[in-house]
Amino acid sequence: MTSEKDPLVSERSGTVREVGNHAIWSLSSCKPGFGIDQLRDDCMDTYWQSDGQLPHLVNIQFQRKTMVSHIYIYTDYKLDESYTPSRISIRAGTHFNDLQEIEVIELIEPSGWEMIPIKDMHDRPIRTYMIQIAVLSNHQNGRDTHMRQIKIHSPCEPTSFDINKFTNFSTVQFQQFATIR
Amino acid sequence: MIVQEPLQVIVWDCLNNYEYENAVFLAERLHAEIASEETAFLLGTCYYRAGRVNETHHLLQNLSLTLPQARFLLAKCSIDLKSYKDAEIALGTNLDIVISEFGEQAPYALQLLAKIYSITERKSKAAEAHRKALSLNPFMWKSFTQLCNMGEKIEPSQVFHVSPEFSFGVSTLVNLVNNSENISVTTPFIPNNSINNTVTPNNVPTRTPMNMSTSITPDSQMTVKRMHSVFSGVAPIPFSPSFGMLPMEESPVMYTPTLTDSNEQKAIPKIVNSLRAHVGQLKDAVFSPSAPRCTLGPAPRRSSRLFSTNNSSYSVKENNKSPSRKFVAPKSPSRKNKQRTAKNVKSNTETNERTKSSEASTPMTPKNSNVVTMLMLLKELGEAYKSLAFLDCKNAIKQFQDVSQKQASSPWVLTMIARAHYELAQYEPAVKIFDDIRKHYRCRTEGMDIFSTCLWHLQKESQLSALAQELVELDRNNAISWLVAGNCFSLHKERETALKFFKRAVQINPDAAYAHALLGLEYSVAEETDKALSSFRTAVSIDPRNYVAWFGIATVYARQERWKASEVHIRRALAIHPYSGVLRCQLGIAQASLGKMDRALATLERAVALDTDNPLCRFHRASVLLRAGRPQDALIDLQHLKDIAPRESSVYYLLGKVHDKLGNSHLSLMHFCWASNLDPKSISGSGHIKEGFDPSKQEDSSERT
Repeated sequence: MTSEKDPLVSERSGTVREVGNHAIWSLSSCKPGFGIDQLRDDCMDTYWQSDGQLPHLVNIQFQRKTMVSHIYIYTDYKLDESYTPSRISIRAGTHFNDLQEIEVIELIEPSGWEMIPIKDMHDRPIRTYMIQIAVLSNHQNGRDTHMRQIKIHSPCEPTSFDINKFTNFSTVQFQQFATIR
Repeated sequence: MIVQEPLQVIVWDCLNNYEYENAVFLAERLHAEIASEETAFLLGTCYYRAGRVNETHHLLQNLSLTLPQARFLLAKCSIDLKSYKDAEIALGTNLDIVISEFGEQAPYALQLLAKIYSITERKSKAAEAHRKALSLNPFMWKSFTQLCNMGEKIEPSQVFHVSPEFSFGVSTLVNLVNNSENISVTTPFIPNNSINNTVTPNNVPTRTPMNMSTSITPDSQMTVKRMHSVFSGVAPIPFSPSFGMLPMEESPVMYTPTLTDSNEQKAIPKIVNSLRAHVGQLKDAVFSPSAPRCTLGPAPRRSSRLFSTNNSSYSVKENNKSPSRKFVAPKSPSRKNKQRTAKNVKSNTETNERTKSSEASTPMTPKNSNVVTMLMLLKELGEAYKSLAFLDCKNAIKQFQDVSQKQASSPWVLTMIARAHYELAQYEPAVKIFDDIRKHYRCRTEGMDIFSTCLWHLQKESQLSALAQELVELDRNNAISWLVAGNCFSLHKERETALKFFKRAVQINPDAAYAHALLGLEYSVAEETDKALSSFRTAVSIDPRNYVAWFGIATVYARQERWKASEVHIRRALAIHPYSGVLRCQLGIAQASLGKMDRALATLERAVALDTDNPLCRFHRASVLLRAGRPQDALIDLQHLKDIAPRESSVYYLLGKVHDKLGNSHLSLMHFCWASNLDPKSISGSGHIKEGFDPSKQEDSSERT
């Protein structure tokens, strides 16, 4: 679960999509100039810095029920030290009063991307309206936290569609005739 | 007190030399001094050529315009600025009246009207206008292509032939030439002056003006009047003295102001020889818009020429219809091979020699033969283009290849052939041709969007990236560059970036139906169905024959499992492109999903028969056979496919399912193993194999959907 993995690789494989752009993001607190834009700007040098009490929250609300398979968080202990989160809780639900914790992860001096797979009881990606990422504690008991980037992945194309339509073939010989473009 | 006419000549001179700022300044001074419609028109032309369309429009719209040229210019600006109502008002609504009012310019006015009609959804009127334009001037290739693209039936053999009813062509020229022949007293008039275009820059020109004036002056008035009657009855306004100014110019584009002095006879062989020697220069001459192609009669009668109402020649940008006849000026230089015109010129030269000796030849033969050859070429290309537009691609390829060798190696023809291959889903040959074009014509962007799509189909990532990079660097303001870039990122599955680039392309050129279709396809993959549908609908409203957009809508509905709607739209696409194996396959799939197994099988049979190179037809047929409960027949197809494509995991997967149905569980497991070995990562692979290993009801029920 704490393997180093670049989300772009999965995106390029075509099996998942980054759906953060389809959502409304909000934070429990932030220092001016270190907010959502810095969290979603694809740049690892800029970061979100919280400015309040623990737990610090990142709320992600989708317009429609979205299937979420992975959440990727980029943190760097070497740069952030006491600002690096150590315990993160992922909650999901329909709205603020209806959140249920689905994952808790422990980070030990992370440096880079952390992948958090999101699975329900039957080992399938969950479908949800809202995701909340809560920072429960930081390294060295820091109060505020830095998070450099967050990405949300949703699987593309439900499998049932494929069985009937066979839109993805393994060879170019077949794939080139699969669609009109 | 500024005298109007010389200043107008000077302004035209600036325009002919592309010095627009200068021209604008002088024209503004003239217009400020004499605020008449003519000066306004001149100023408007300067603005328009300098690219200042808004100012042109502003200038012309408040005047009550009587001059047809001015109305034409206003209409053109209005169309550029998308105020179609103004344009229509400026041009007029009744086509016959337009023809009579605009005289020589009528084909162009009709073309503009056709554009307005097609944008404002009056397709039948648009077609009518295009046809009329073609009947007046068979060289209006754009009208022909628009008619084909609209799906209108039109016969190239009827369009591209010399007919006595041309108002701007050969006959008028002939008349004019004859008239001038009568006028010039001392001249052994050389009819095919057109060829005497390249003059070794300095020798002849300077002499002629003087000669001209001496021989012409007494008759200049008559000439002017004659020209009035020949061309149009509008009050004389100065026009681009492309004829008059030429003698002064030094560029190789020169033509001999048709020497009309007996003294010049000696010069003629010299000129002809220098012509031969300068055929190379001629190539430039051909394409220089300021090529004073018209060398009708004793050219300058410079003074009279300048002030005649030869409407056709005032605008060098627009095709010089009348003069160009003689010179076989290519209407779209990019298409016609330079060598071809040189060839014509050479033949002209020979005929010139002959006629020169006869001394009093009629202008008929050489000029007409050029026109006729050109029209024949247009006819061949027209047949081929029509085949392509109606998606009869195999014939189109043959017809394009039958054109003369020089034309067939020109980039336009090659692009058309490559497009025909693309429509047939023969991506490899298309890519080869496009590669060839790219090698020789680095800066050509036309057709590159199709090239990028072919590369997308073939999944040639590096080539596509290189192409995208080169094109974007070459021209950032071209929608095609961004389409290519979008295709590149789409292939890399970076959806957001691909969407961004496609949106950019659409922003640059909102009238490109294909750009909208690609944007829609990208949206549909990104599962934003509303935006996808709206993009597809825009594409279809721009071009109802864009089958890619229709198919896109069908896929969106298929994704939503609205099979009926999907089938309707696939049929629509198929009606436009009946020879497409891919489309027919998809129709079969849709029908199978609706449960119409027999229909589906019949469709797929046809698909297999039509498109022998497409393995998917057989594959889908096998899949439908399986679902229809005929696993044995499916087996035959799949065995065949296994031979063709031994590395395709879906084939093995389907074989596994077939054997499972037949009860050969060990065989089915074996095939499932192979399938997952070949492609462990794909969704279909892992998802299906898991089910495959589970020989339970679950699998069967999913088949029976």
